[in-house]
Amino acid sequence: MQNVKYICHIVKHTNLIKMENQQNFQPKFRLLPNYFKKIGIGFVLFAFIILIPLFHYWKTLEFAGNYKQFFYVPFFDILILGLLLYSMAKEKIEDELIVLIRLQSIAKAFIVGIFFVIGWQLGEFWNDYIQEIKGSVFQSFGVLIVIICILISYILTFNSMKKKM
Amino acid sequence: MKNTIKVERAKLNITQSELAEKIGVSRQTINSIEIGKYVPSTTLALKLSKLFKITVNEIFELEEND
Repeated sequence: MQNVKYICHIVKHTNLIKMENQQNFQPKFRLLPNYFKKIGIGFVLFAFIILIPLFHYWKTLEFAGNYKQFFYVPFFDILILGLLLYSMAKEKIEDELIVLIRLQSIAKAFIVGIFFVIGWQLGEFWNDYIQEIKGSVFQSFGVLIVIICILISYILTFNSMKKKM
Repeated sequence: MKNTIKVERAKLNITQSELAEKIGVSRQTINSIEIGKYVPSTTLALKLSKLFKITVNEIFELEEND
């Protein structure tokens, strides 16, 4: 009788441990509230507003050279922050299918990022050694553009998969 | 995997949106499950089973390809 009790005790606790472990492996993200999507869009729009003076004075000599950095750096930072906020915001109903779509989109964006970097390297090689063009804008902001590419790819994939649901 | 969600839903006379609201998912998720595009988790299957008052086996059925 004691043996049966002992076995029951072990089975009960083993099941409890299994349940706890299963919960730990559930794919869950700590995301921002849904209204952060609007804040993200606001940041992206603001980033483009920053660029307006740059395009306006693009051809004037006074504005050439290092002054452009004052606009490019905040533009890229605010744009990345906006895209990040948009992508990290929850959907109105964040259920398991959305979590699955999110995971698939992240995986696709990761692969797109890798191909983008490979393409980038080939493009730079073409510019530097074949066309002999040096000092492009892209060379200065390479990493930032790769991050933007990954974020945009994630957002586009996520939205397209969500529409196909 | 085949499922009888549409039939069970019709028996209860509820829409996809109402069913989605009752089990806490989006209407699109219910639609994806109904048309067989998405196989739900055990948790969601059990929630459906509880709502329809039938077993999970009665709702979902394996096909030859599965």
